[in-house]
Amino acid sequence: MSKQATEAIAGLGVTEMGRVYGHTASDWATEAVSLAVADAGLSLRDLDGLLVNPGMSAPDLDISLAGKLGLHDLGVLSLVQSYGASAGAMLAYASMAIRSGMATTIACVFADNPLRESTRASDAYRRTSAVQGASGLQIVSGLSDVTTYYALAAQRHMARFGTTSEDLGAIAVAQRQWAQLNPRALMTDDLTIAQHQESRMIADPLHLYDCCMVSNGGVAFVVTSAERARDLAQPGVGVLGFAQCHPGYANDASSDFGLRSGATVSGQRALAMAGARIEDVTVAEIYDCYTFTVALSLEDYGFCAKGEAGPFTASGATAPGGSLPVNTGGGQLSSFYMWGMTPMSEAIIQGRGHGGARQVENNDLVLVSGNGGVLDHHATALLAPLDR
Amino acid sequence: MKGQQVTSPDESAPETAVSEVSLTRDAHTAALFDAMASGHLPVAVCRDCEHVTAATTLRCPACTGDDLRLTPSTGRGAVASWSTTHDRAGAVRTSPGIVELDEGAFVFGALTDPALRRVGARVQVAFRTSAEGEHYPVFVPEPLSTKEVRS
Repeated sequence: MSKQATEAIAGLGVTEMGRVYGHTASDWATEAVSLAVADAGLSLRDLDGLLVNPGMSAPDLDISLAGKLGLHDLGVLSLVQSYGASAGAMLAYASMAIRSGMATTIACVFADNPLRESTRASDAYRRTSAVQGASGLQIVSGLSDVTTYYALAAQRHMARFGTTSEDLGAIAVAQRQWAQLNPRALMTDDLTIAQHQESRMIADPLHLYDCCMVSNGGVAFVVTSAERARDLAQPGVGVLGFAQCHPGYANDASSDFGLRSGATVSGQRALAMAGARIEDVTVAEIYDCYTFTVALSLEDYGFCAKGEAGPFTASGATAPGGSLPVNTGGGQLSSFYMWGMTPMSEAIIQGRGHGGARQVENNDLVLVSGNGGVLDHHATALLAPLDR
Repeated sequence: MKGQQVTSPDESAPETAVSEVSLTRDAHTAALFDAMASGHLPVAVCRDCEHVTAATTLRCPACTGDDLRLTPSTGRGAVASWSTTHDRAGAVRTSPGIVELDEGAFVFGALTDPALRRVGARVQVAFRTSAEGEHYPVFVPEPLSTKEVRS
């Protein structure tokens, strides 16, 4: 890469994950920020900026987190909400704030607490709003949860491009193979295409193993100047490019819903900022609420041709030992569910070279992809080890 | 008030069983619900650029204009996408579809016949009523006579 990063990620904090009870979302966020700051070799007093992204079950998590952390005289303090694209959005806003001089050292945090001891994972994100108006017309049509919307997206893609359920299964299997190399992953049992096919249908065409889990926990990272990051405790991971795209699908035949996502434009913009081509990307961490989201994103970024994500993945290209390692920690399908922080945290680990058994050989350029809503919001980041 | 009747703009549309569901209108959808109560499924047409889109749309997705008028559609179209949701035993719980009306607008509606679980399947709207008496669309197979006219 000819371009040198001027900002870098210097700290990463990941709390305990999964079915862990007795915490609030702001407890998780407090712990994650503290861990990230310590990881960087800094103290909370060194922070002069804080960006907060609450999950859907985090009513107590807002900018009062700054007070809970004892922070003073912040130059940047704000909520960010682009759903699964928030991690990439926070990284971008923090980098720009540092570049502009608003702040020097900014923590970005996500936390959520959707699981209760009495709650099934399938109910944790179920919509409970009044059955009224336009959204009510969708609910009475049989659309009560996000999974069904993604199922409609996947079904449209399958009909247009010939994608099969086995294609999606290949993505679940490849990510499970990565998860088996990740000590933090929550789902590490062997998984085969046959088991994927036999798993119960949630919303046709999505089987159980096409769907991510839901987790309690928090993740934070610290952004600072590349210059400062060089003097800190961890290998700095430089920020080379970032971009977003929010397509705004129309409810008519002009809609690309299910066929093409914001990753197309977001990816091109981020690559342009980094002065890179998609062929330069050596490892990709891609938002994976469902296997289908990975398939669509791989195509939209241009890692493979439109409609080819299935064969591309089935070839083993994205699995351990493949030509393009994808979701090297197991992703949200197999490791843990922290919205865009799942791919972001794994990108930081790979960028540092701290992946242990799952460390990729070539971490020259790491693509991080966030996706929010129902393919409504995309954020892309391009990261690279500093001074390479 | 318990509405259980099915109304359809086409007498040949089959009657379908209705489960009691709750659905009420809001300020943005009053005209749409009035239209459905009168037996037709409207689409929204932008007065500025003539773009045709869903009747639930507030701003034209083509030109951002806010002057959308509702106009009756044929109520016929093709399945743009579909799904089935299942209970833990595997039985079908719901069968939602996105229908592309012949005018171009997308409409969400339950697909009442397993034969409609196919992208491109021809459908026609029928209406059910909610526990509160509001009409809402479901989709039934397009009557054969209509298909013959089309081919």
